[in-house]
Amino acid sequence: MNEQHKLHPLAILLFFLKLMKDSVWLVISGVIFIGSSDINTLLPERFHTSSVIFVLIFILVIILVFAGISWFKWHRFRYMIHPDALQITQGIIVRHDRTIKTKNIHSMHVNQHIFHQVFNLANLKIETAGSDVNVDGELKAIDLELARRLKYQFTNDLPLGNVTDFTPSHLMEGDKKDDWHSSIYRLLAAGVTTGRIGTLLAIAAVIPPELSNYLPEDIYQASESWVLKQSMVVWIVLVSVYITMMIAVGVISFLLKYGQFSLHREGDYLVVKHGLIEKKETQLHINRIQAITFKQNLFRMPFGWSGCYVDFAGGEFDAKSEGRLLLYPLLRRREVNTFLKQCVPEYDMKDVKLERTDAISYFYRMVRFSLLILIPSIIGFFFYVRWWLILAVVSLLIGRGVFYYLEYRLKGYAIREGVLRLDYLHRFSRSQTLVKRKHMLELNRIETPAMKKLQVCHLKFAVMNNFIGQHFKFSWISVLQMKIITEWFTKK
Amino acid sequence: MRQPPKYQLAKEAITVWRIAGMIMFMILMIIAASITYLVFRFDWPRFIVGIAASVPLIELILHVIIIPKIRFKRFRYEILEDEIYIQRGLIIVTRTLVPMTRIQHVDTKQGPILKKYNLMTVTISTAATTHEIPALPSEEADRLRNDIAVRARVIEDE
Repeated sequence: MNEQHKLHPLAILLFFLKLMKDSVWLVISGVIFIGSSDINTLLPERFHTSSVIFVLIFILVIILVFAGISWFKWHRFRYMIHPDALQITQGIIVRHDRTIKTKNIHSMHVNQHIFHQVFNLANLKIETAGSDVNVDGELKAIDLELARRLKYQFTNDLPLGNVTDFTPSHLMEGDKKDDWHSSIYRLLAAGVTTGRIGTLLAIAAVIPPELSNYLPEDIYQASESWVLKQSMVVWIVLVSVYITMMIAVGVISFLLKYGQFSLHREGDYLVVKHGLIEKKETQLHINRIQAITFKQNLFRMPFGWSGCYVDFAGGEFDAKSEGRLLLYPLLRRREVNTFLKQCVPEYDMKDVKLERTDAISYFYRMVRFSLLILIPSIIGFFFYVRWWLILAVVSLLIGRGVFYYLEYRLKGYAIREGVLRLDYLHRFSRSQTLVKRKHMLELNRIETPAMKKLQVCHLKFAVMNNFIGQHFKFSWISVLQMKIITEWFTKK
Repeated sequence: MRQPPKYQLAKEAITVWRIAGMIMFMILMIIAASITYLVFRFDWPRFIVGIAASVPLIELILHVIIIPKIRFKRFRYEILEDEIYIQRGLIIVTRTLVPMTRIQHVDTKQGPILKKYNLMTVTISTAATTHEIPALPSEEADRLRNDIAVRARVIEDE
């Protein structure tokens, strides 16, 4: 297979779209500039026309130029597959010739955008140690089968050259038995309970008052007076329809992104596939995983559902994700252990007893909080007292107490060989983090004078990711437990 | 965690921090003086003068009188066989253990004030965090830097 290949012509369109996307501000400012300046003065009389025409001409020229550039890019793009390397030659004027050795490749990603799906093509991204897109390789549009095969060969440490004499469908079937597919019901459940619903509801609350700024005055006033005339029942119905609609928007966007979710393990790699419009296929080497976190937010806690996230380091284009990847959208409580065993046996923590933290610190915090609330409110009550104010203060205290009790019940840690498991409450989400000793960059012990008296402290550590690192805090543990963890951490 | 680290910084560190605090105080004083001038020149409300004057004063009390002493008392470090052990903080005390294998690089730096007292700041960086040992005697800082570099490399090789 030692010959030069061209990309599928669809790449022209993709190059074009990317160019458009990258220079959209330039084009817009160009349009504004041309639209606002009087070009007629520069031209002879018989060319004079309205500025709309000039703008159209400008856009047409831009499109033609971009199309030309895209075509040239595609025309000059060649790739070669060697047994142990990929060679990519590109560049319109300056020719870049890059050879990427297989041993330097961190991972390959096969993505399918909606355009790809029409022609049964795929986008193959090749990640190396450098996280710069320009340094890494990307084959914008190649045959899906070829992309899959290349990835398979790479994942299994086989020479890339043999991609042609290889029967992937049969071999790949064998891996299917440990696949974790997400059914549509599971995804729906995940979508309804995702934290983004809260954000959407917050947006929903903000939109109506904002509308007055955008809608014409009379329409807004007419609809406002119509709403005010309706009965209570209609109001409730309207509000619930509105909220349902917002939730539906959240669920649909979640489904579009994570639809047809599947996860399976291939050798040392985890392969995550998801997406309805844009099919994403991410491949993650086990060694790149820095920490695994199971998270249950407030909506999911009563059901014991958790989403699984991994923090990883090294080569990822997507700056938005900041080094955290959704590994699986929703797991039931009893599935977690099986999941760990099948997908990441390195982190399996079954049969290890969870160690509780000291209760003393919760009493201390409860007393501290009560004093903080009670002293000002009692002073306040001398001047102004109402039964509902007292009720509010009391319910605040009870709520806080329940919260502390919940935190106490959830919190715990366990150690098994090189893996530390931490269970804790983080921003109202029940979290379980699994981290290997070798990935913990440092260990911090934090204490205030009061904590010193109580013999408790906070534990804080960081793991590497592509951004500034992920920091974990496990607070209010006893000094003795801290000592055990420190000893484990410094053990060779 | 175990006992606090053994070693303290050089005694001159307090002086250095105080000088730095004084410089900051002077800069703030100049700003305060110009604000005062502007207040009287343009007849702005007088309370602005009070605010402008109190900021440098607070700075003087905190960064020249109180903080350097506590900071010096709290800050401790120790270079162990396999890890670096640092304690820092004013009221909230943090002790950090950084294993040698996780260290990516070690920097030393020296500003003009530190240079006068022949001191150096050592910065230890891991993949995600950085830790500073401020104001070590130059020779010790150099030795430490080389030491850490050698140890980190040796462990890496194993």
